[in-house]
Amino acid sequence: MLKTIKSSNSWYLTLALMLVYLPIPLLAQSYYAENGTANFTSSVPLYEFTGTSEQLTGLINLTDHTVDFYLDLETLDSGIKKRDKDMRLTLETKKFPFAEFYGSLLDSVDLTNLNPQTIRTRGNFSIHGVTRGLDVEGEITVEQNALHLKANWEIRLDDFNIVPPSLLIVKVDQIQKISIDIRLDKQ
Amino acid sequence: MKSILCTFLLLLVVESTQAQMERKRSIENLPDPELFLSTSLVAAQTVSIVPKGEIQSAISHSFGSIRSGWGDLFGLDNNAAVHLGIDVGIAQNVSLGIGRTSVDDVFDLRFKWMPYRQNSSNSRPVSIGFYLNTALETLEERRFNYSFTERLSYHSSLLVARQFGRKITLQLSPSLSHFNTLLSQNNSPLQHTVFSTLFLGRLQLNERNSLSFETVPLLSDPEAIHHWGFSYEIETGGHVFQLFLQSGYLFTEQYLIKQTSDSFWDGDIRLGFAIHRVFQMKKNK
Repeated sequence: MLKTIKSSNSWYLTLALMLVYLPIPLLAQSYYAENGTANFTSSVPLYEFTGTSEQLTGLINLTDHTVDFYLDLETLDSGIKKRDKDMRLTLETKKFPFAEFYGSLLDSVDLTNLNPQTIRTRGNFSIHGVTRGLDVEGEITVEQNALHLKANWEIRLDDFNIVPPSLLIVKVDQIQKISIDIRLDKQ
Repeated sequence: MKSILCTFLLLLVVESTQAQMERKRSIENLPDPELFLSTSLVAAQTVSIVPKGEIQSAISHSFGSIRSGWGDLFGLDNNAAVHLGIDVGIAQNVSLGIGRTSVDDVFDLRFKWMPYRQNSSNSRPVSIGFYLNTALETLEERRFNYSFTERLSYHSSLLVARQFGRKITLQLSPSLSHFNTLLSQNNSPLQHTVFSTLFLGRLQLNERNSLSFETVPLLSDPEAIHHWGFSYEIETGGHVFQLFLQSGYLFTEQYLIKQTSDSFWDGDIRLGFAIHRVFQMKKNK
């Protein structure tokens, strides 16, 4: 095999080198973090509470325009342990531990522009074992060897087969607000 | 053939850079077991404690004896006792609380410390803690002019509990209670200091519902009657609801131990309920 490459076809060698080096420029255009902030905000009449996690993991690849984010839902902290337990039971985190979004960038990121840039993404959001298509608009700011991303969107709990807990006649609203804030470092 | 192989390899490389990241759990260990749903059952304290930074409000209510029948709607017309309480998690595994029972206008100040708690890895197989309360009877007494000290009573417990197989929890609480003042009806000698052991248990029916009981199997006071209480508990959204069948109707431990005069197994049973609600002291950032 080696003999064939050396003797017969020089473009084979070129291709082999490409295969070796191709991932490097691709990876060089990717940004990664695993300490982003994610907030899940729910409402009940006259009151709102937020489960927060500082362990959002994210990857933005500017070469193939993909975005990939996930969160271990058991890391959400609402400030009240009993409510956290209730949230874990509602989301069935033992069975479906992650909330995730995987999709594509619809707009290019201008790495020379240091002002906040509005970026649209399209992909699939999964939670509670249900995956649905979702368009999310976010704001990316280019920093030194990093991208700072902020985004928020809303989902309906019944779209994801999530039955919100109720207390007598007081029910948690179907609308769940999600926001993320993450600084991704260049890999 | 060669070109197919090259194309395949090229696609493989490109595909590998596009694939989703491997999902890794941030929390590998199981959460520590929740031995009881609430910090108290009918009246006895459990090894559960209000977490640091949270406030728990609780209202407990017991009615009259069901022996009264339809005339008093099985005791529901007779208000026996109401206890209002607030407990605060002031530090990791330390809580402080204050409460008031409507009978004899008794205020109680509570302290609980749970330094050793059962964990999921079983490196700590039991929970051990300490509980202390001081109660002040503020009811005006026309016959006697009690001093502040004479109105005080105390209760202390060592709390030892273990959960077996994530479904069954048992707790023993060797306790010492003391009343500075007791009233005697017939000049018989009274025991101001009483040793007792409370025995508590919980059967977890599912993630949100439990059956629990409490009793006082060991009691050094021969005059007191052993209290029994059973509780059906429902947990939802930061609340715990408890429905009781109980013999003793007082919600401060030393009063429940010393002054229970009804026997559950002779049919002196009353209905009761409690609602526990936790609040966050400090909002998330």
